[in-house]
Amino acid sequence: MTTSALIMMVLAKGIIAGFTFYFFGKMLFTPTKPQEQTEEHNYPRGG
Amino acid sequence: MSSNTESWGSRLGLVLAMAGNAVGFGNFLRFPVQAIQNGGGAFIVPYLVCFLLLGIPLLFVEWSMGRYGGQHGDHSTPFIFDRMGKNPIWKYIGVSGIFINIGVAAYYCYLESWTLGYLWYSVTGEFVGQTSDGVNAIFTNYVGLSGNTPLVCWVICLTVNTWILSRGLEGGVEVAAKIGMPLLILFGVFLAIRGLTITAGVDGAINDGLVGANFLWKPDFSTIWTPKVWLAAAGQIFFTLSVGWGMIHAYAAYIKPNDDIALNSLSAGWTNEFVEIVLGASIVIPISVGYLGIERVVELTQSGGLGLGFRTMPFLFQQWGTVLATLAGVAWFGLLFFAGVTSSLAMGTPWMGFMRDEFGWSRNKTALSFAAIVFVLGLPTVLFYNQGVFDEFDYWVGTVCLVLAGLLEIVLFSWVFGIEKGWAEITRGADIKLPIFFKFVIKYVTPIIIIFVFIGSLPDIYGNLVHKSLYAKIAAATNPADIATLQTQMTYLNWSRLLLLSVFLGICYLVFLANKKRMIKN
Repeated sequence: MTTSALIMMVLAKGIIAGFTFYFFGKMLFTPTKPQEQTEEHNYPRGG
Repeated sequence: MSSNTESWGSRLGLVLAMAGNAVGFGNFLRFPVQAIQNGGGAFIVPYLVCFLLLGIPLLFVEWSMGRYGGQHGDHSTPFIFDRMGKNPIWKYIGVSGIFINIGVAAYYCYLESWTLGYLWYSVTGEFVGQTSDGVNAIFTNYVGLSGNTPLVCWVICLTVNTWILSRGLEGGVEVAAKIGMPLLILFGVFLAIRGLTITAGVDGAINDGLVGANFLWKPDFSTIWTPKVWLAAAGQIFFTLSVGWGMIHAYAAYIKPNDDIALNSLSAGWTNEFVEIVLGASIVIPISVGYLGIERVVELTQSGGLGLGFRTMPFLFQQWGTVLATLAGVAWFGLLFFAGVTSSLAMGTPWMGFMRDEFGWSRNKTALSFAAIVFVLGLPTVLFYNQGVFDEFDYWVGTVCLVLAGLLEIVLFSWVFGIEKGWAEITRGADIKLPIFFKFVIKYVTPIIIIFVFIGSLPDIYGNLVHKSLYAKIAAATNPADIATLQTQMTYLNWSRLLLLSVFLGICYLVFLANKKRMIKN
């Protein structure tokens, strides 16, 4: 395998695996917020 | 207000279902082919830039639009768009979010059924002892509907989808995602390790697996400034993340009002990227280059990834001996089947949400009606596959409509609803601090990229609209029988367009009726 291909492959896979594990892990270990009773229709129709 | 009060059972279930909706055949079959055709390893640069500037912003937009609609009792795009826009036309633009899913499900469920059929063939040893031509012939016979397997598998697929949909989000879709996604990743890891560790001279391999990886990842940076490459990267991002379809809105509509969407959408989006780049790019190309060589693989990728996945892979697995070939066949087609099911379930959700919200239909009735529509609309793609009806559906609904819908929804979100309120929606309840940079990107950069993609695709769209390539084939043909066949094919394609248009208008009419009902109620 050429060095440039190896660098591209390792960089791409590394960056993507890194971000995936970071966000997925953070999502898994962040406790769910208790649901407050929110008022509906925060905004009128049409923004 | 609808009586549709479903919600997701767990955060993990929601993220896996969202990731599952994005992970599909494209992750394993489309990305590697796109990379090879657009600069190899260098393709990752425009691809990641498009993910950052197009994919992630659209994920934020669609998740927040869905949650916003859901808290007002709207679970599909027509009335989500209507609530966010000032003009009544938005609800008809929102029809795209149901139409695209029904139109794609019509042929996608058939494609999904191929994986089931091939899973069956792998288990029963249909491929054992077959030559490359033999495996090729099995595929040709399969799509030519010889034998009962194709139709039986198609009906089984529709039944499985209907059953899961009828069990609702928490008891059906979420359970399917929690089972399907881990299995898919497990199968993917097994095949990726096997693909990258192929050794030349062992089991008939002519190259090491790393030769295929080198072929895929060797960068050709001279292509990086070519508009075609950027267009392909943007198209791949649209396709792989399932943005523009309306199913993310439909799933997100069942998120509780104060639940996070920023971190969840990033988790789902990056999981899809993981499956595509880390796993998907390590399977088809390394294995096929290992056994067939680079020249043959280049030739095979000209006709897209489907040929590689179904015509080539079963033959290559046979080189590993009966036991490993069976395991690899089960892993490969099982992986594709789970990728397909988790996506087709998402395609059913907008219709489920719409009919339950607006017409008060039960889950069972709505799921059955979805199956009936997909069956009727899918029949032409099954029966007239060789006449190009399948590809016609894929092109107009699964390609052109996505880009148009993506453009219109981001205009609605950023410019009509307003980026200030939009950004407040995205960040409300967020478990992660989002860079303010994305606010600017959503308002200006993403719409410009989509306009660029759309304008870049116009010549192709026009060519397809007027059957340019078919007319060229007719002009080049000398045999009257060939000319007649091509003309018949054109008739089939025109009829399939008419059918799709009728479905679109039919959904518009349902939206009109629903709106009338709402007005009477108010």
